[in-house]
Amino acid sequence: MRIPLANLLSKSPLPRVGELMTSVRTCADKVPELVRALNAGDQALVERLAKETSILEGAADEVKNLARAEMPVRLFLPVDRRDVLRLVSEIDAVADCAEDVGVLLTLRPLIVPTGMGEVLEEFVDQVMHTVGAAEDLVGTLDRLVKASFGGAASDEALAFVDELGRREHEADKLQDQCAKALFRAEDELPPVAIFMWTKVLNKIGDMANHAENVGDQFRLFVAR
Amino acid sequence: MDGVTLLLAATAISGLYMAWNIGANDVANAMGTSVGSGALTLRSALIVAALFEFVGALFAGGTVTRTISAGIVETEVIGGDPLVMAVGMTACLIAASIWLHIATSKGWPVSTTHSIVGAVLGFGLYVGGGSGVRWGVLGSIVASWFLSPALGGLLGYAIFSLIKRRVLNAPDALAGLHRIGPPLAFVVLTVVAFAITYEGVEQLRLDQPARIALPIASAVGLVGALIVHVMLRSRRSLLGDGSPTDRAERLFLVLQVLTACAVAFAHGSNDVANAVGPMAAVFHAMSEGVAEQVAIPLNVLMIGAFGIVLGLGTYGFRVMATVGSEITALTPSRGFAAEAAAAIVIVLASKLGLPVSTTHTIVGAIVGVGLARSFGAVNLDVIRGVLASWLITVPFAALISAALVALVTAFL
Repeated sequence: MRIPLANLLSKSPLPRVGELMTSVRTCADKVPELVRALNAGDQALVERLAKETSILEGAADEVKNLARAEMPVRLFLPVDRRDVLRLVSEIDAVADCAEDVGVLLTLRPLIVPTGMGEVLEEFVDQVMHTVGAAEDLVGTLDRLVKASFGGAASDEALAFVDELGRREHEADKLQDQCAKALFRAEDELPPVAIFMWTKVLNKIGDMANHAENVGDQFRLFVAR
Repeated sequence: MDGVTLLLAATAISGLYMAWNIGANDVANAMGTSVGSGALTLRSALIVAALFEFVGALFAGGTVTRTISAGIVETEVIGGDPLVMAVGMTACLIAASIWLHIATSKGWPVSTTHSIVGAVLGFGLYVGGGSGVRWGVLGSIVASWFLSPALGGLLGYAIFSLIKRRVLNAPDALAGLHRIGPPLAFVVLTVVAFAITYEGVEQLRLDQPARIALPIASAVGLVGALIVHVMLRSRRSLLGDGSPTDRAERLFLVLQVLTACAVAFAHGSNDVANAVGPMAAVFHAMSEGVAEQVAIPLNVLMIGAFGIVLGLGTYGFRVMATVGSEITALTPSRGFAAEAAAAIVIVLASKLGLPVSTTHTIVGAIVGVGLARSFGAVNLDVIRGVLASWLITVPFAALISAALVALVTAFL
């Protein structure tokens, strides 16, 4: 058959982005579990959860590679191809950070300093809300394509981007409170523990930062 | 059986085969866009194609047919020998058919139009060398091959951008469609009606000058717009539930039926000539001698129309189903924009006597719609394939037809 039209409209690689987001979310969901196990002082559970996180990160990586492989230069997308690739990287970075949190917690068994446990769980929950907001935002991609990136669908996406920004800001504030709680207890902690805790807090905070970058990429999609 | 009867039989068979090819591939490609969006079922697409192809060929196919039968080859070079003309044009049909057969089996996106023009070029070059071809006519034909996809793209982009702003992304999508639907239908219908009435078929007194054809066409467009106006408001059953955009998309199905007919008409007006043109030249040459102006006998047109319907019925429906299942991203609004753009460009090209490729124009129109950020992904490889097929088709078809003419004349 001689059918140029049949191949003209290819399968869009954009749904892969949603798929990646889902698997990254599954991976990130391990972080609050890790923190709760840490709070409970169950190091064995921490070790197990860290391993699970690592496996889930590997699964997310596979989806990421698929997404990239389906975006050859010959495809003309409704959004800049480089922007999509950057979006994929940012989503993937959330899972990378989640894996790092697990690794950091197993390198040197950490004890939660007195007075930090509660605010730490609050912080992690807020980070997960931020990741959740990013997931909601990625979920609008399908509708955005249908509406060719305008109208009500783009308003909806922008509302999610704003929500994402608010969540990340809240997470930031909670991270500062965790740091304050850490330094209030600095006398009872060995310096290495403080060093490690600073890294852990930063890694958890980075999950929210990368989730927020997802929002920034979407602003680029909708603008124009 | 004498030689002449044998020759005429060969002409008729190769013309029929050419028409079959057009029906099996080109028409099916063109109509597949409507099947993909669900505007037409496979069965109704076949009926619409058969009907409007015929109408398009009959009422607006004459000009392109004349270009192919008597516009490209310099008739003086043939020196009034009807046999040379007959053998040459039959060779052209066979050459184009061979080339199309090869391309089809390989899945190359070549154009029927380009094949036959290439073949006629080869014939002209063989019998008369450089002076055997009217280079001016050929130049404008080739220019139209670049222009028609580009114009289709531009128009597709413009129409879809309008639809996007006024309907899909408007606060009230349905009200927006009620407003812009009738004017869009008016434009499409007026262009088609103008093509029929302006310097059209003499016997039916459709050969009116512009000052008469234009008001008639506008009146037809106006009546059509009114009907669309009423239909858009009465088809509540189509709306269903879902977002306003989804409902507007379903209402676009009404408009897309119109553009599907327009595309079939446009295709008939332009591409039937690829089979009928050379046949007309042969039959005319054998009955009345070589002429600058070739009348298109009704029976020759019938062979063309019959061949197309045959191609559709035996093979085209499969191509149509494939196209339809592959381009489901072409929602009714996008399909409408692409088809309206392509139909307008092709009908105007037909009136100018320019044989353009319907499929390539539609590809251009769909890419234009895609520029308005409307598809998940457009595969630019297809455009590369189309461009490559332009470069290959003409020389190869020319080579094959020249070789065939050389072969036959060696035996005469």
